Amino acid sequence: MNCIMKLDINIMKAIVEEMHEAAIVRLYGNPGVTAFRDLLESIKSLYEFINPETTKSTLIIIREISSTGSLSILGIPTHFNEVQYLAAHCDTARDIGTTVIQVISPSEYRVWKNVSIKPAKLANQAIVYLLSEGKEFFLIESKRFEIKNPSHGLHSSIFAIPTFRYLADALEDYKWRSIRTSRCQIFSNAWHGGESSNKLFFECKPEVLMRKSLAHYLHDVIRDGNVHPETNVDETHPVDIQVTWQLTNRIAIIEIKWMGNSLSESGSMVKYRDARAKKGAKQLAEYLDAKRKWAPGFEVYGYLVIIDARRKGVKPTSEMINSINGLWYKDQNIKFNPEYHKTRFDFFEPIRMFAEPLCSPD
Amino acid sequence: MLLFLESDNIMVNPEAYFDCLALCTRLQSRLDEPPSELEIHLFSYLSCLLWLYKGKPVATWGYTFAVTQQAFPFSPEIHENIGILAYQGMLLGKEHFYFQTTEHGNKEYEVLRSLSTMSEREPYLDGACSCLLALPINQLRDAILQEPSIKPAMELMQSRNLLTEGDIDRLYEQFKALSYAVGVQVDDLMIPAIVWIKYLSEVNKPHV
Repeated sequence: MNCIMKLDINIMKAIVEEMHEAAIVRLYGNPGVTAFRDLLESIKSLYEFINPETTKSTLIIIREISSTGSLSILGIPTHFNEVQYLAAHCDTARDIGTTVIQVISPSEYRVWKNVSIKPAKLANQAIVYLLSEGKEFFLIESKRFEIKNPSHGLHSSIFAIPTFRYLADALEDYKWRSIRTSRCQIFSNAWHGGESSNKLFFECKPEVLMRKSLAHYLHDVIRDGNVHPETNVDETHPVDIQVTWQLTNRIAIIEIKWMGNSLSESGSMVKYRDARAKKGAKQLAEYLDAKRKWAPGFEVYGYLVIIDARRKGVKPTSEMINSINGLWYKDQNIKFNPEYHKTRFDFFEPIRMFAEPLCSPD
Repeated sequence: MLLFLESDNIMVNPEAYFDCLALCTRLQSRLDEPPSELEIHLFSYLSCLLWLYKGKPVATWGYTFAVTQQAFPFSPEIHENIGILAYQGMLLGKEHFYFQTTEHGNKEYEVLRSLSTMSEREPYLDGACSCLLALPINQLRDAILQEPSIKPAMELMQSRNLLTEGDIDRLYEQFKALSYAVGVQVDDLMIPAIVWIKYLSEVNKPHV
């Protein structure tokens, strides 16, 4: 068993060559590192007020190592000492031009809006950060380094990935961020016809991709949690996802159920409605009982996630849907009986996540 | 070095005691929330690796680490001193798992960091915590899990001490190669820490 990582100096060199940090150190030494630190601090602060998810403009944030006067071609800047006023001025969710923010220090900025410039022109004796079309880069002299984002597709910036202490908060974020508009790429493949479809039907047995999507998401955002897909609660019954926290006796088990219609390749439709969610609740209650027997001394909590893709009036041949029928079930909650979340301390209120279709004009 | 708190006959490890305060102070600012005990263990271990990166002997770090069934990496001294600091009112425990410094703790930290034996630890603790400027915490945690001393024990579900003689020889060799690959030495230890974490993430990706 080859458990121990063998040192290969060539692999190490190749990996390090692709790192902007190494380029900064080689080109600029200690002053470069100080400037890089200031830039990182500023990006973090700015993203507390500027949402990279909704940023339509190209955003350039620059920290000079020594002033070359290159920024003078941008014209007269606006000065800011407070990030929140800067963010309000930039309004990156509405503006579609290029915004350049120069970091003088983490509490002093200059801003140019709607400028026309190639970012590379600013990268002489400076470290340039660029957010453009959902991708992030650092420009160090003539080289452009793409920043690898493990949550790409869900979080536009590696500098603004939220983390959650509580599973319920993470599930709420997942509902809005990943499911509502099928933004999660893994989940979007669960639709019949894939991510470009109108999202009327799921593929056959979409639960595999749903489990994968949620496990992937939780892995990225839950603090201190270990996420285990398909873990047995006893000898024979696997729960969709189990989350454990080191140094604690807490275990969370998550059962995922879906409602809506799935379509097989042959065109046969399977329809799941409220009964499916209720069955999931009963199953989860049984799993919690089983888990408690198998893991005495642990605090076990259950979460029922219901992915809701119910559509009104669809047939296997339907290809489009209007917004009245497509969003008909959007706010229609499920009446559970029994209401385990009210009678059991270990059963959290089920979380219904409505996945919207692409609706045709009414 | 070990000290006894006279009133309670509790053993204090001064380095772990100081590091808990220093790490809590930095991490609560970087994370915008109090760090968990696990995060304190994680960043104390990364700080210790930076200590080795600078060629200092592990014995002078002041406390030990292990991989246990409960946590990786885990320092029994850090665990004990978190308890002591919480008992003294220097740290405020939330849900017995997340810890933030109190005003009393902040003052204690300011006093201790003026001592040369403690202030020399600051660049290592700061270098480790500053990784959070560039990397998401879960990526950092996953990378540390791939660290050659930890990964085999986790895969085999074994408890073992970390930074044994064999581990250290291997780490010295890797840090030397890393330093050579970067090519230039800089004062700020954030850079070698980030490069090391990214290297661990990349080299352990499938099909690299």
